[in-house]
Amino acid sequence: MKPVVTWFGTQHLPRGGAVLVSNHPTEQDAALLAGAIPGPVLVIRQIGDRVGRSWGVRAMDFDRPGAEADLIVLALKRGLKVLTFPEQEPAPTLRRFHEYPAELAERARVPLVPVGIRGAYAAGNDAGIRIRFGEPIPAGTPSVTTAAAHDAVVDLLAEDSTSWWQVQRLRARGEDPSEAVESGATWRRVWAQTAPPRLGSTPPPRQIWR
Amino acid sequence: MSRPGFILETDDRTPELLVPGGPGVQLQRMPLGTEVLYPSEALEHVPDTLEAIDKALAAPLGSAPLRDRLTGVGRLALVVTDSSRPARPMAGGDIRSTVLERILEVAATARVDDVTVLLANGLRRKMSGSELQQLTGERVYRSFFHEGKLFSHDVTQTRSLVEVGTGVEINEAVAQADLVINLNVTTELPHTNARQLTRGITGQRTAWAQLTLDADPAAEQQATDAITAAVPVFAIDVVLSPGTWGGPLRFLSKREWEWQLQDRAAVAAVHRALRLAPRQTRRRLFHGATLEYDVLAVHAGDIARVTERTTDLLTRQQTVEVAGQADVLITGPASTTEHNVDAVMNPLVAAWDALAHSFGNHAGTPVVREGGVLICFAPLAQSFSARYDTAAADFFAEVLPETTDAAVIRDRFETRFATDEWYRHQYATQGAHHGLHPLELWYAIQPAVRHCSDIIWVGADRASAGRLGFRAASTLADALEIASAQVGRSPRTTLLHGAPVRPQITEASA
Repeated sequence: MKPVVTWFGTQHLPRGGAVLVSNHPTEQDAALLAGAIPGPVLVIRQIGDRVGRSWGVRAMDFDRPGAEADLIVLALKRGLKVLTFPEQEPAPTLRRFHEYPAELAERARVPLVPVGIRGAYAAGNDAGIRIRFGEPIPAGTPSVTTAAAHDAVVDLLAEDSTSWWQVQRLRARGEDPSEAVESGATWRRVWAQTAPPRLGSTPPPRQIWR
Repeated sequence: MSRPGFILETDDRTPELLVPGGPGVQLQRMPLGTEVLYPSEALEHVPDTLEAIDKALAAPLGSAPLRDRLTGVGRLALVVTDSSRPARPMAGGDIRSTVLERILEVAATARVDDVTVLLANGLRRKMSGSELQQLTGERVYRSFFHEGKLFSHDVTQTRSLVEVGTGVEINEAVAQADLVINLNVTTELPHTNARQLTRGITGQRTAWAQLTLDADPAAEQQATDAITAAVPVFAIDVVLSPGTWGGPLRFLSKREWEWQLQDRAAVAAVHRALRLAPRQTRRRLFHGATLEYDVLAVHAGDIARVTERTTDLLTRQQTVEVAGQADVLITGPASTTEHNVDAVMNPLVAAWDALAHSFGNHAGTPVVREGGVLICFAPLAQSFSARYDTAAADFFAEVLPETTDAAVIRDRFETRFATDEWYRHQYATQGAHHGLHPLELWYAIQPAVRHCSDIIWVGADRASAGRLGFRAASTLADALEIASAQVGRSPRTTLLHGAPVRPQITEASA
């Protein structure tokens, strides 16, 4: 069964160039996101990361990007959107972000746009997949903007499982919303990721036939 | 810099002009010498909406910054303009969701726990869940709706109303709040921040005292004073530019002589399609369309200071000087008004938009002289929304055949429409307009009815026009022929070419 993909917050996508940094639950993320982003998108993947091999997907080593990086920066400056997965390979839970996407954004002086994908790890379930775009993070020091982008992706995932207002309140209290997404032992986190991703702060769906 | 409004005098080379006439495209050749009143183009908008919102909240007018006002606040009530303004949905997402998110981010930082978001609909219909999501955005909707913290106000729920002054009842969520933030999205002068409170979130009795026939103007000020004395109010006005059409209908927002080849092709295609298509299809073509609005300014702070700034800005946006009054005014309703959002335009709404909204928008002196004639373009089809217009359909079918006299209607029928349990139930649970809503529209058109000696509807259903107490004509030439009995054979004629325009009669020629 083909899962239903819903996306929110596309109004946050800037008209010009931007580096989109997304969590990476599955190998199909690039294809999922390409359908949600208007206009052409260049996907930059880490060598070894299987996100599909097609036109518009470039493989590179985030630690040694080489001369191709100059062309990507030029394309960003000219308004192209670049999608990256700073976790470098698919994982059921959110991991540390590589700073290279933020370096690209800083060199091109374009914003980073955080993206949260929820439900893709268990693609095929009835609840579908939800993709959320967050507010752009202005270009700046890569270590700072990478940390901000990681927090923003955590917030987007937590927002989906709880609600936006709850995330705002947790952040205001200095608490980490990732508790709502990633708590407990590894197997429990993976277990949670494979469960249908129930939308937070909503009543259970009505069932006529039990 | 935007181009100001102006008057074009038609001559023998003037082509057919667009005239407002409900949902559709009306092209009409005007008599020689007709003065066509074109509205101003939109004033300069803010370059960055988010920056403008943040700036307004951080440095408000006559008030401490919002962050400071929220310190120590336990209960926050957010009053928000309902979907009636602007009447056509905003393309690319509603500005309310953006402003609400910015306010709530500040509220979260100030550790406000109890937040209620309230739509100020007053006697207009309550919003459905999907409409609330569209207006407030997915984030705000999902955060508050299912907890019962995001809802439309109900003027009839006496149990949830609190009296804060003599005859002034307001929603208890507002009355019990430590701070009320009143977010008013406005495109027109009468939609003031204070009025949103006094008519939008008050009880039926309080709201009706301001809307009834020949209402006491002091009632509104009394309600404002009572509310602002009872609860601290932080006012926010988001002033929008007049909406502009995009896509194939963009010619509707252009002046006729600036139409390019593709615009002319679109005019011909749409005009032809509308003539052939059934009414439902015609309506769907226009109802699905959104308009593009720019944010002209965001004003926040003290309610009086905010209203003053907004009034200045909208006066600059809408005022067009006119030398002297006309004998005949030609106008018509817009394709969608604040009283028929997502619904068919019934004859009462059409009459309200032409006679109260368009005719009544002036700087003190109407554009047509007393005893002059009003010619309106509208089909006045006897179509009523089965869901929203329950009371209006009964008013049209049962009251108007008996009398069109507003004073008689007030004395004989007002109590019935105010207290009828069926209308109350429909309003409270089914999203219909309140029972008094048709009377509000009818009372609002009375100044135009008293001012003009004749009101003629071109292309209208004769039975409808007759029932409303007006006359119908098949063509503009016929209407002018009928009008000649009042204003002679060569009247001075003015066409209102689209709203919003606020004619100001200059003294030198008046």
